[in-house]
Amino acid sequence: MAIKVLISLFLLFSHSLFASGRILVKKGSVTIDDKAVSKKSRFTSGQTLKVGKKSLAVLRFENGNTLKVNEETSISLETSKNKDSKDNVFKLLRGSSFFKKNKKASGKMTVKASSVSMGVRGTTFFVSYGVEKPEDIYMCVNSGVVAVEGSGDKNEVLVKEGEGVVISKGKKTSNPKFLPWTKNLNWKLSPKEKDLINKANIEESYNDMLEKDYD
Amino acid sequence: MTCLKKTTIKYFKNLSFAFTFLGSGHSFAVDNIPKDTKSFNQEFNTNIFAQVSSRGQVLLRAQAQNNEELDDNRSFRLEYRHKFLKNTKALLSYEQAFGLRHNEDWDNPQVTWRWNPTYHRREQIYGLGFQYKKAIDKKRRQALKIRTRLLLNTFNDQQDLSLTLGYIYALNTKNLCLVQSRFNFPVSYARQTVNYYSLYLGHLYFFTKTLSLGPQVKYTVQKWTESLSFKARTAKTYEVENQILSVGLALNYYPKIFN
Repeated sequence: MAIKVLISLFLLFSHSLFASGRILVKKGSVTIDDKAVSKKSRFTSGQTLKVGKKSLAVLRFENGNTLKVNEETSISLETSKNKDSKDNVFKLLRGSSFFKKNKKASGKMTVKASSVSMGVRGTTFFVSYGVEKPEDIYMCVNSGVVAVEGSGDKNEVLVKEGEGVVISKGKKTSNPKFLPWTKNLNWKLSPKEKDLINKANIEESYNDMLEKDYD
Repeated sequence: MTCLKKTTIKYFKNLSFAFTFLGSGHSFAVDNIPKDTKSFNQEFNTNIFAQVSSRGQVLLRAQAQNNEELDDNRSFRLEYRHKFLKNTKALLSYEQAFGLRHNEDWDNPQVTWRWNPTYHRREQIYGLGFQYKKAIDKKRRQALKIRTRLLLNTFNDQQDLSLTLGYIYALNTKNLCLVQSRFNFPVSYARQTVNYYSLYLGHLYFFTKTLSLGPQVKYTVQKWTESLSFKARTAKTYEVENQILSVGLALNYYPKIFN
């Protein structure tokens, strides 16, 4: 009986362990549910993590997935309806983050922003919501494939490595295309890296001079 | 004595008349060659770059120039730009221009040699070309551009090869500078190798990602040589130039018709 209780408790908490992450890098102002946190603090289902101005947080989850949250970003970890689920479902409320799915991890990684859902099929991609325009979502893939489905889409849109899309409110996801400016993004996610802060500006996507003509 | 005086006076009158005639004939010889000029012009450009497909862009351009020495000119261009390789586009254009000047416009329909007015003369120019750009820094804030176009003017069947070399620098997301030189090579109709060159400096301020406006300064040298008709009539040759300093504004709009 005691063993059954222990096993049940293990199963009860194991999914939340998989779903929860630990802060490995903290720079500046980082809060979880509006409470200041420190390195090694846990970020679990149902909580909202906020990173302030000129701040940064890198989290690693038990399943090996990594999350780098940029400055002025608010992101929550949704609670899965299935208790045994090993999925990570993030909701980007505002700002931008880098996501890296562990190829060996079981379970899915999904990122939601506004009414758009992005299913990660390995491995690294970037999402920005409400940074330039309140309802614009930018997403680009560094490696792997991401399936994007917005409220304006009939079918999901597959975004491949090196490609990016823009999703404006109520509109269809743009056709995936090579976005040269994404090379400027800081894709480093390892806590061991010294320079993790992303300085590339989403606005630079507006003025890619190789694509745009001026006369 | 009186008779000698009258004869002498008459002689000197004839002599002075002869000198006057020769002198005026000499001034006719100068007046049938156009002069070098310098002028200060104003120019306004409006460009609409409409993205019509993932690789295709249509340019609608309206250009107006207030010329101090030449006729004021204006032009309207419709151009299709197709990206067929990375950073490389093919260009196909149709243009209607008014107020252009050619070598043959130096004429004397009555007595005096002058440049024919061309403000109301419509000319149609077809163009085919290529453009290539290359980023020269990792952050893609600087790029070089080369554009070449072969132009056919159906008014006089003259062909030109136009070469533009440009440098683009993005100060930040809202401000961009453009420096470029353009050279025109007349194909088989003029003695010069280059009959037009210009140095352009422009700045664009992006109010939004689709709308920009900015000032521009351009220094141009245009050259003309004698037409076949002139040479046949006068047996003379010449090469004259018009140096132009123009200032103006460029307005660019980037509607996205294709998502």
